[in-house]
Amino acid sequence: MPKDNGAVKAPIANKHHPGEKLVPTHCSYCGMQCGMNLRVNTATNTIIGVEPRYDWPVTLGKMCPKGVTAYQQTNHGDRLMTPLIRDDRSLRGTKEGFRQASWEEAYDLIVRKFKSLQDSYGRDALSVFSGVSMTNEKCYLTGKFARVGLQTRYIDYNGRFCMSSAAAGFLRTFGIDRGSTLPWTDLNETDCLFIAGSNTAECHPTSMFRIWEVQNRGGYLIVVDPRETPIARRADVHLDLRPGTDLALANCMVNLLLAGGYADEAFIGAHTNGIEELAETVKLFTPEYTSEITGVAPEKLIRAAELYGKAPNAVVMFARGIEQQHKGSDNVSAYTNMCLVTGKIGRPKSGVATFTGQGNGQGGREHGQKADALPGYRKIANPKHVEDVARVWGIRPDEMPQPGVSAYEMFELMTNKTIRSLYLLCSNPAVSAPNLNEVRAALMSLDFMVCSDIYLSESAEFADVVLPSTTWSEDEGTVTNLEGRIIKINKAQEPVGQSKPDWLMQVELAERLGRGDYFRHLTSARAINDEFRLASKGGYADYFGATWEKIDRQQGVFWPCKDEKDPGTPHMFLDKTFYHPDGKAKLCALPYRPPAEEPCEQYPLRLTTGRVVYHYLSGNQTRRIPFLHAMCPEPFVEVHPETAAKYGIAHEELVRLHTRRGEARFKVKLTEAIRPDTVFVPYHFGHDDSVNLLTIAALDPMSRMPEFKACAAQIERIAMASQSSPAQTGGFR
Amino acid sequence: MKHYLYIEMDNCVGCRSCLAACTQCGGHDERNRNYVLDVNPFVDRQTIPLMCLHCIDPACARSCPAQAIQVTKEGAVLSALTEKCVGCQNCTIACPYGIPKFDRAQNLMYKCDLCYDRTKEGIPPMCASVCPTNTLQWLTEEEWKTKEQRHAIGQWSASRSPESPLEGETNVKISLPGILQGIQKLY
Amino acid sequence: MIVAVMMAGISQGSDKAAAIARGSVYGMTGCAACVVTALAVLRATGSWWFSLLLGLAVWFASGFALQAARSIAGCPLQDVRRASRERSRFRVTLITAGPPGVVVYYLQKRWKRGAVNMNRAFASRWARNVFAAVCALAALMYIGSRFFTHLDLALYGYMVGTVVFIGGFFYRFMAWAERPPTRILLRKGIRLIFRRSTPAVAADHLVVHRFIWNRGWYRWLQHILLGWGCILSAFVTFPLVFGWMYFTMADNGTYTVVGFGIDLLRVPADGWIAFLFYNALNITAFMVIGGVCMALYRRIRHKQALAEQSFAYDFLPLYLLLFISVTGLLLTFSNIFLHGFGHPVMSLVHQWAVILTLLYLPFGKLAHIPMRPLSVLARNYRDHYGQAEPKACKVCGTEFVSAEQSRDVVDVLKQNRLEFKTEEGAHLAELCLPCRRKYRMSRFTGIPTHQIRAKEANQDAKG
Repeated sequence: MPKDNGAVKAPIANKHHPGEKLVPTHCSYCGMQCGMNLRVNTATNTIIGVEPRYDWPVTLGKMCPKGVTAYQQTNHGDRLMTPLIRDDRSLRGTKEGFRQASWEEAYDLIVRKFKSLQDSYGRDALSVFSGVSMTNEKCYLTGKFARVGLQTRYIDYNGRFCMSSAAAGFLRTFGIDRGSTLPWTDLNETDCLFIAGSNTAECHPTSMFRIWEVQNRGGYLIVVDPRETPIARRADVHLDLRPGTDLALANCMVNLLLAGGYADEAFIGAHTNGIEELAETVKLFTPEYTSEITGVAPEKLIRAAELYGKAPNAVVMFARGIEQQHKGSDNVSAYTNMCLVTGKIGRPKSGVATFTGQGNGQGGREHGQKADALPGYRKIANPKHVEDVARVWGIRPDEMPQPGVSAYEMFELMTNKTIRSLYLLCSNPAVSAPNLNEVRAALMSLDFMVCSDIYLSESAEFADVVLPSTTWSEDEGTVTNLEGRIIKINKAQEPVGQSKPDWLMQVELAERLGRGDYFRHLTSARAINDEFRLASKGGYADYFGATWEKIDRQQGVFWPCKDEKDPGTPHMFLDKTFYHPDGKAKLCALPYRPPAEEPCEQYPLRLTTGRVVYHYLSGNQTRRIPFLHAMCPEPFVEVHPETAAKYGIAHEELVRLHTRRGEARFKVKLTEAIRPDTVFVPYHFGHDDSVNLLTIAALDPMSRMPEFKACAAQIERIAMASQSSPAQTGGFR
Repeated sequence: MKHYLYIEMDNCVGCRSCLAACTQCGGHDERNRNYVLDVNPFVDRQTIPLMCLHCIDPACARSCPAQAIQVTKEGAVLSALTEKCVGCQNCTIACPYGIPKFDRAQNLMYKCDLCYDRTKEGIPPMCASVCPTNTLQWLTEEEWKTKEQRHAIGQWSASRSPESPLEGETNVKISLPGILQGIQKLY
Repeated sequence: MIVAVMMAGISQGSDKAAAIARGSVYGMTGCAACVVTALAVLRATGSWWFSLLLGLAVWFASGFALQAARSIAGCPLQDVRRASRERSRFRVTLITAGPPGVVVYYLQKRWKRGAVNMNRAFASRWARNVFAAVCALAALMYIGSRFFTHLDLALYGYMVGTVVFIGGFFYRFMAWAERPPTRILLRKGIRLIFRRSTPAVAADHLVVHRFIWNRGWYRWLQHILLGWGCILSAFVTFPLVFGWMYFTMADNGTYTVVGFGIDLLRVPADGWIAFLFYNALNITAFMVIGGVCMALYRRIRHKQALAEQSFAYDFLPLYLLLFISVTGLLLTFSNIFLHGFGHPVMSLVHQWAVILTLLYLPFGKLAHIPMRPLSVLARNYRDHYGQAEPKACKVCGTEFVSAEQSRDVVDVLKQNRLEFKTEEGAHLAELCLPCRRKYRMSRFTGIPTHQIRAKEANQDAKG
C-alpha cells in the first residue's frame, strides 16, 4: 500500500477508457524507472497514451514531462521501419544516401564485412559500443555477443559517460557497487539530505516529492551545486562551489565532521580501514582553505557539516555533477567517507546513493558490457570469474577475450586504425561523447559501421548499415532501477514495421557468423533472462533468485537475491559487513586535484554542462517529441548578468562559445542563479549545437570517465547581421 | 467524498509535467489547459503553476452570452459547451487569472475542467496525479483541513500581506510560497 | 411539457435557469390551455379557424388565471423560502377547509395584492411577444394559403405544435437575452448586421460549419447530416403546414409548385426534381438517421463526451430526432408496401413526436439551433470594434482585444458584483492574458513578475 506523508492512503483506481487496455510498465528514460501504465487501443493494438501507475511504490504514479510523453516514441513518424544500407561511403556523416534493404541483405553485408575485416586485421578489429537504456537481458546478451559471437575484446558502453565513476568509487570503498544502499522509499523519512552535483529537480524529478517531504517534516536539505538549481533554491544550505572542486569540499566536510566530534569512533574502528591516513589528508582542508579553492563561504561549509553531523539519520547523495570529472571516482569515495566516519550507513533511513542516470544504468553495468567485466559484476582479470562465466556460455576459459578499453579510448583506437569496425547500439556518441570533433573523425575513419537504433540518430549518420531496433514498449525484460531494484518492463504492442529487438538481431547475426551454437537456444527475452540469472549466480550482483514472477509478486526485487527463497536486499550492509575480503569498508585518503583544465587568461570562464528537464541524454528520443521539443527547442548558454555585462551581451543574443577543442553558437540566457565565473550549456543537442564539441576528454584514471563538468572556455559576441524580426501580431479575432 | 485540488506553490520546480499530463485526460482533446509561470526569470528558477481555480462565482460563466460555461455539482467549472460557444471570447477577458484558452479555428473556448472524466469517478486529475513534487495535490476534505491548520495565516502566508491573493472564493485551494516558515525543525 | 422544462433546468444547472424552467411551467400552462381548447373545439365543431381563435382567446384569458395561480402557489421566481411557506399554508388550507376553503383563501390573497387590471393582461413582455408572433403567423397563413383556401387540415397538429413552440421559444429566448452579456452582444451585434463580411461569416458558420470541420471530419459530417437533415425537413414541412407552399398536378403530367400563392416551378411529374420533391422528407430522414447514428457512436466512444454527457441533455434530443425520422419513414413504408396499412396510427404517432420535439426544442440541447446566429454577431462585434479601437494591455502595451469589449466585460462583471482591480488601479480585464497571469504571480509572491520584461514560457502542449 503506498505510503505518503506518513499516512497510509487508500489505493487509487485507474481511469479505464472504453476500447483501451492498460499495460503496467516503467518509463523508458532515466534510472528512476517511474511506474506507468501504457494505454493501448485494443482494436489496433497500438499505444495511444499513458495513465499513472498509482500503485508503484517508488513513484506513486508520478511522472516527469518526459515520462508523460514517453509513449509517443513508439509510433513516432521518425521510427526506422526497415534496415538501411548506404552504398556511397562518401556520404557518411550525413543523413543522405541510405536505401531500404531487407534483413537478409543487411545481415549478409554485415557478416561479409565483419569476416573480411577479422580475416585481415584479427578478431579485435571489431568493436561493440552499447548503452544501458535497454533491459538487463539485452545488456547481458550484448556482452556475450561481443565476446562469444564476434570474439572481440573491444566492447564498452555509454555508462563510461554516466555511471562509471560511481561504480569505481563504490567498488573501492565498499567492495561492491550498488548505486543506493537504501530504497528510495526511505528518503522522505530521513532527517538530513546532503545532495552534491545533482540537479535532482530536472534530472530525477520524481524524487522531489520525497526530498521536499524531508523539509516539510522539519529536516534539512543541503545542496552542493555551482548553479542555484530548483532544488538548491529551497535548500537550507546551498554550497555554490566552483565546478570541478568537489574533492576539496568533500575533504573539508570530513575534516569538519571529525573535528566537530560527529565521528562515530566505534563504527570507524570496527568496520573501516584507513582512518589515520584520511584524517591526516583532510586536516589541510579547513573551511578557509577550502573556501579559497571552492569559492564557498566558510560559514556555509561549517553550517553544512554541523547539520549533517547532528542529524540522527542522513543520506548523502550525488550524481553526474561530481562523477563526470577526471577525479570522479575520488569524489565518490570522498563524499562516501562522510557516511563512514559518522556511521550513517548500513541502517534504514541512512546511507549513500547515487542518482543513476540511465534507465538501466545500474543493471547494465553489472552484466558484462563493460570492457573489463563479466555478468554478475565479475572481472575478466580474475581467472575464477572467467571460468564461472565460460561454463555458462559453453566456451573454454581461454577463449574468453582479454579486457578491452573504455568508451572514449575506443575512439582513439579507431583513429589509429586498431579498431576497424563498430557495431553501435543503444547509444549516440556523436552527441554524448566529449571532444566531439575527435570522436566524429574517429567514426569517419572506420572501415565499416553498423548502428542499431529506433531513429536515425546523429551517430547513425556515420553508419554503413542501420538496423531498426524496437522501443522499450515493444519488448519485455528486466531493468534495475537506481535503488538496485530489479523491475519488469512489459510489452505493450508489436514492433512497428520490420523493427526487431536487439537481442534477436544478435542471435540471428551469431547464427550467420557461425556461432549459432551459443545463441540458438535464446529464442525469447525470457530464455535470455534464465541464462543471464544463471550467469550472474555467485557474482556480487547476484540476480539468480530474481525471477519474473517474484518481481511481479513483490513489486520488484533488490539484488543481491541469491535464490528462490531470498526476498532480495532492500537495505545494504545492515549487518555492517562490507564486501572487501575483511568485511570492512575502506576510508580513502584522497588529496585534492584541480580540474584538468583551469581557467586562464585566454579561457577565463568555467564551462559546465548538464541537463534540462525536457530532454534525456543525447536527445535522440526527446527532441522528437513535440511537447518536449516545444519546451526546449535549442540549447542555450546560462550566463550571470554580471558576466554578461562584462562581455556586453544581452538576453537571447547569439554568442560564440569556444574552448581549446572547438566552438559552438548558443543563445544567451541571463540568470543570477549561476556563479559569475561559470557558464552552463545543456548537452542534449546534435550537430553544430552540441556542447560536447567543447568539452574535454580528460579521463578519470580509475573509471575512465571524461571530465564533462569542468573545462575552460571563452565567450565572444557575434556581430548580429540579421536580427530576427519580432513576430508579427496577426490581430485578434 | 469531496476532494480539493490543492496547490503548494513552493514545491514547484518548473518541470511542466502538469502541462504534458493535461493532454492525457480523456476529455481534453490532447490539449493542455494549465500554465506554469516563471516568477522572477532573470534572478532565480522559481516557478508556480497556475491552474483554473474553479471560482465559486466564476467570472467566465458570468460573462458568457451563450450560457455555454457550466458548473458541475462538484464545483468544477467546465469548458464551453461545444454547441453553445459562439466564440466571443468574453470569458478570456473576464477571467481574473487569464485561464481560458481559445481555439480560433474551432471557434471554441477550452479550459481546465478538473479532469471531470476522472474526478467524477473519484480518480485524481492528471496534473495532480503526475506532479513529481507534490505541488499539485488531490486532497480529501480532512487532509485539506490539516493543511489549512498547519499553514495558518501568519506562518503560511507570511510572505504576503494579509489580504487575499485571489479575487474571490475558489474551489481550488492554495498555499503561497514560504511554507517552510512555520515548520518546527527536527533538531 | 413538464419533462422538457425540467430537463432545461437540469441541463442549465444554475439557479437562474432553474427559475426560468419553473417559470416556463407556468407559461406553458397557458399554451396548454390554448392547445386543449383548440383541440376540443375542433373536435366539437370541425371548424379549424374557430377553434384556433377560441384557443388564442383562452390563452389571452390565461393571463388572468396565471396571476391567480402564481399567487396561490407562491411565485417561483420570488424568494424560495417564502414560496414554500405559502405552499405549506395552501396545503393546510386545502386539508382543513376543503375546496370552499381554497376559494376563500384565493379571494383573500387576491384582494390583498390588489385587483388584476387590464394593464397586466399580458403577464409579461413574453406573453405580448408570443401573441404578436402568433398573430403574425396567422396573417402569413392567411396570405400564404390564398386566404385559407389551401390549408391541409391533416396537418393541423403541427400548426398547434408550432404555436406552442413559439411560446416556449420566446420564453427561453427572452430569459436568455435578458442576461447582461447576451443583451450587450445582441444589441451591438444587430447594429452591425449590415457589415460587408456578414454574408461570408454567416455562410461559414451557419451553412458549411467550417469551425466544426476544424474539430474533426467525423463531427462535421455528423453535424451536416443532422443539422441540414432537420433544417431541410423543416423547410419542407412548415410551408406545407401553413399553406405557404403546395403542389398542384395538372392533367398534362406536369407538377406545379406554388409558393405564397405564386406558381414557382412547373416540372414534369416523373422528372428528377419532382422525385426530389416527393421524397424530400424521406431523404432528410435518412440524413438525420445517419447523423444520429454517428452521434450516438461518438457518444459511446469519445472521451470528453463520456465525461460530460447526460441522458436528458445529450441523448434525448438524438432519440427524439431518431424517432421522428423512423416514424416518418414508416409512413412511406406503409404507403408503398402495405397499401396504407397502419398509416393513420403511424401518422398520429409521427405528428405527436414532432410536436413533442418542438416543445422540447427551446429548452434542451436543440436550443442552439435558433441561438447559433449569435456567433455571426459575435464575430462582427469583435472585428468591428477591434478595428475601430484596439485595447492595449495596461502593463505591456500589447493590443489584445477591442476597447469596447474590454469595457463591456468590465460592465458585465460589475453587474454581477465582480470587480477585479490591480494594485496599480487597472481592471484585470484591461491586462492581456500573459500579463494577467504574471500579475497573479506578483500577488502570490510579492515579486512584480508582470513588470519583468521576459517572454512568458510556452504554455501549449499537444498530446
